Amino acid sequence: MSMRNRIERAYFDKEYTFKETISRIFDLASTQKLNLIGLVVVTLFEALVYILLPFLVREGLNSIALFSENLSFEFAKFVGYIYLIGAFVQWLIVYFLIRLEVIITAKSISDLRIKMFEKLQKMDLGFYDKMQTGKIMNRVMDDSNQAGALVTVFSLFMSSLILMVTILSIMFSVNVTLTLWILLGIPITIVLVLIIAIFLRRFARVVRKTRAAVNSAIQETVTGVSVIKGFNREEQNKKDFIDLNDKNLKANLKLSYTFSIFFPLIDFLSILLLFTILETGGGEVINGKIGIGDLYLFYAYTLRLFGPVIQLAQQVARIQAGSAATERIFSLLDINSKMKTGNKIIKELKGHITYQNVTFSYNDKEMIFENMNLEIEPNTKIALVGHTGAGKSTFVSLLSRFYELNDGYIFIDGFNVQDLDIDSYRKHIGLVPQEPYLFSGSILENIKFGNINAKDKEIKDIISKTNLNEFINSLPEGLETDVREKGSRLSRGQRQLLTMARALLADPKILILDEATASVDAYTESLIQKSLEKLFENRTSIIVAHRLSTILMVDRILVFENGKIVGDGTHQELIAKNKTYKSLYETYYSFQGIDN
Amino acid sequence: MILTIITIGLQTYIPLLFGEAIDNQISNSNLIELREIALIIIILGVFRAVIGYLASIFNEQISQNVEMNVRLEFFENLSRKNMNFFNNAKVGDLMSQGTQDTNNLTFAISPGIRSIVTAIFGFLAAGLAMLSLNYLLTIAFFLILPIYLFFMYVYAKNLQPISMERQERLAGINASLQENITGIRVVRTFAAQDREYEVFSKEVRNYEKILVRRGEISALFIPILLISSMSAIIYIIGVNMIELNYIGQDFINILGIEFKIQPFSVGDLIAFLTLMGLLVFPTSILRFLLDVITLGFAGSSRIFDTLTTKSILVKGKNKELKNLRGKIEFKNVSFAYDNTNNVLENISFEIESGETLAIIGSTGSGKSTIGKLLTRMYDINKGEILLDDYNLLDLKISDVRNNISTIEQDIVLFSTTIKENIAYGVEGIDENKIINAAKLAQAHEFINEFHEGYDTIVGEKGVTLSGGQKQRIAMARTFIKNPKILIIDDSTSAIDAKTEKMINDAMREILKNRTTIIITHRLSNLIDADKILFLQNGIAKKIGTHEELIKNFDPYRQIFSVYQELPPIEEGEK
Repeated sequence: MSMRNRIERAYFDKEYTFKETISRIFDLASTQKLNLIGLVVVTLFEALVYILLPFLVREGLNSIALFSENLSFEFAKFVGYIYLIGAFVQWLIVYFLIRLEVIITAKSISDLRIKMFEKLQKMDLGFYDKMQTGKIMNRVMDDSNQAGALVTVFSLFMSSLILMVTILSIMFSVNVTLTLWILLGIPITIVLVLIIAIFLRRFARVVRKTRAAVNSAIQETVTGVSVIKGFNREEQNKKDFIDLNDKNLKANLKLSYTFSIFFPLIDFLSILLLFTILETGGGEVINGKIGIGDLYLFYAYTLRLFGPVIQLAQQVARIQAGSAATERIFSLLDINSKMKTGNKIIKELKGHITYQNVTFSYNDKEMIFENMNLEIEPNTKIALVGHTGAGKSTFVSLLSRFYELNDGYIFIDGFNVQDLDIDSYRKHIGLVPQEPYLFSGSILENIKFGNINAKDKEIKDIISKTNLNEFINSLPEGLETDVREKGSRLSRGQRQLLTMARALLADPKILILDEATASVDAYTESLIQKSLEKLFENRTSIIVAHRLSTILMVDRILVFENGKIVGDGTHQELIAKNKTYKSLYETYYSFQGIDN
Repeated sequence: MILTIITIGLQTYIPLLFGEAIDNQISNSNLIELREIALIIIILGVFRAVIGYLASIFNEQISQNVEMNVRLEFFENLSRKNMNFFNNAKVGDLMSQGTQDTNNLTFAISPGIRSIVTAIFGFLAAGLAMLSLNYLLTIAFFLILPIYLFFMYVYAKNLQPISMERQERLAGINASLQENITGIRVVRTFAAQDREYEVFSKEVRNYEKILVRRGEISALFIPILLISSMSAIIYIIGVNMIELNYIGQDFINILGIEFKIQPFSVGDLIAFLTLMGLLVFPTSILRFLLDVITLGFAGSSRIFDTLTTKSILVKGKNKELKNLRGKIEFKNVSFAYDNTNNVLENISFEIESGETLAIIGSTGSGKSTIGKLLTRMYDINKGEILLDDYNLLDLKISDVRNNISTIEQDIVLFSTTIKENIAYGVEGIDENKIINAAKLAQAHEFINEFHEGYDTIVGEKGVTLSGGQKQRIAMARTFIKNPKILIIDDSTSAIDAKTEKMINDAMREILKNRTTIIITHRLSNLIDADKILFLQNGIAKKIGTHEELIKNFDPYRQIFSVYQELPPIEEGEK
């Protein structure tokens, strides 16, 4: 049984043509125009030095060739000093070149990462339900690395081209026959590089795939460690892991074998050219058409010519290979969040909520709500009751604007929520979720998450109202205690109390408690109950109830069943005339009542 | 390795032939011999390419295997760590260690070591070849070797700390991204996206700065300066020697020592320059590799940190456990997560086979910890835990865990089908058993409501399911495993009362002949339990039945006084 037969592509992945990819990369590059122009200038200088140095040496060598007519040692020595200076200049230029390249690449990678992160902050939660954390992270961290490097391709491309043309024209001017022979090598090289690139790309895809499987195996081991240990899956998982690694190894080897062909091949090509130079060029020297120094010049230039040729071919290959990465990045950047949002901002919210014909489905197949209608007056306390899966949490998720409605409207104080600025709206909402999620960092940082400017007095007040002071005081580091990733240092009940404190400190107008105290023991809960009642004042409070004590405290109870509200009223009203509620109440009672 | 050296030898021999050809054959206008030499060159070229390829293939095999072994070791080591380690570590950080760092390490080994060999032997071979031409120039050439090595040493030394920082920052970005994604609901609820964005951008930009700084150091140390200036110097000396040859002087006086000047020709000079040219590639590759190698070492030191972190569970006698009856005994057990604050202090209790122990206590009193100690997620600091009268430490961990199941508070489901989640831990189980287990856990009904039924894939950590649904799948998973001892950790709190009652009824059936520890505040569970352990701040305040505790233990009574205020059933439903 395979735990990891996953689909490679995400649901929103699109294909981009070569042209589109290029123009997108160009857009990306356009933020760094100055740097890129600088890069082109520097590369041109580099090319110049590259071309001039061998030329100089040729002149020098020619001048001291024994059968030369104008033998001049002075000139040859002079060339030597220039050569020495040239070496320094060359180094300086290369230094700037590398620096610029690094700056541009690093900035492009950062830009991409930040852009993706920004996008992620806007996505609806349905996106997160469908995408694994590891896969999102892959896009932000790994793919950006590959795509960012492509930005410099343009400048390199240009300078490679200029370098090639210049070198060739000089070579032609020295000796046509020899140059033509050498030119023969160019198409061969290009074809070879491209063929290898095709294979590389194919194998690289397999490597990526197997690699992703290895990574998610590690991820699952780390995140699901308690279950893995509990179910004794360690041996089996190890076997699976070895298996996955084996596949990855094979793919890797295939890729590197292909890659290994590259350099020896290029090497061999350069020997072939040496052969050509000697064979043809030697003949030309003997025939007196060129000098000995020219032979050196040809040798040096051929080496320098093939550098850019290979680079050019590699860059084309890189754009192609990188296009898997760019595709994944662009797809992520291009996907639209389902959330509709306007820019209206409500400063003072009253807390009047209206659901009008609300229809919603997580996957567009199974409808959770169909045409739900409801009105909640400001400053009322509402309890939501019903069986697991009846839609209580979905109801509050919609109110928190985690998901977009399929149809219908939610009005807040008479405004369509879709017209409101989503962030400013959410500031009015305080949700204490079922899963008490904390961030790594201190208790204080976590409590202040929703209100970083909170005063010490307010924090103290909230802590004592949520009955956290005893616990916090028992910690040696008190409020500064690091709760660790996901709050794993604390018990679940403690986490729930902290998330409650966090929500209350933000002082929201609409407070939502989604089974917020389910893991808090009854005694502790009874202690905070009274302060909670005070905290509920002047707010619209919506409480997904799991304890009888809660439903007795509220103004109004909504009974959920299969996505419908089948009961609406006070406890007394419902118990008298609502069957669903009555049976719910009875089972609650038989569990929570006391009959000794 | 040997192949690599042969390649280098061939590589160096070729320019020698080139120079020879220029001097003798061209100068003497001997076209036939020129052809011969050209042919030899090309044959040698073929040899070199083939051998070079073989060398790199061997090298790849070695390095890839090394990487795989490091990763396997890492993985295996992770599974031997206790939970404390996982609680302390950040998931994103561990991830990047397991993936990127191991990758860098291989890269350092594969082309890395090979290039060092190539560069060093390249130097030596070039030197030898030069020696055959002219000893004086060769001395000059070898003078640069120590300079070059010193150069590279300084470079690596400068790069090392910054590489370490780079890896740490990268891990930091990974961790904060991970937290942002997993905690996205909280981020949204508090509209903290802008703040998160700022924090993340700052981290990314800081990382960028490090990259640029590394690039700067790296650019400063490109060996081009050395090679080019050396070429220039050789050229100058060469020209001088040719001149002296031409004049007919065959001694040169350097610092009062007379050196004999060998005959030196233009062809020799070209050979020298070509030999220098050959060094450009290996030296610049070497620089690039030093780059990667320092990253690799930075990565490997992080990996070794992880591997050597203690937090390994005690390896006992590995006694096999057969036919467990299910008797549990805690004898004066003390435990602390971080060696400072005892979470449990001197806890002692006994559960007979088949009995149910309920644990009650306020939030954070150490209830969940008891179950974690029993399944050896952690080892205790003091005292003894006995299972069927055997010391828990002496038993094979996998046997212990096979016999004990926990339904935890935080349900972890894997991102695969419901079916595979329920069958987790058992291989090749038939579908009916899965459905039966789901029915027992009251999950069958809602599973069938999904379009794909049991083949529905639950998102990462099962986010598309409601809390109660997740818990019921976790229960079904436990039923399949059919453990002798069951630990239920408050796990029904997110399930509504009616569903819970149904599960409870099913459980009662299943709990027969099983030892159960149930952490709960629900009255019905407490009444059903054979014993109740009342925990307060890690101390066992009282053990007894519900009747005993409610009669003469005040704190216990206090808990239920809350419910006493509830209205009795008045509408006559009973």
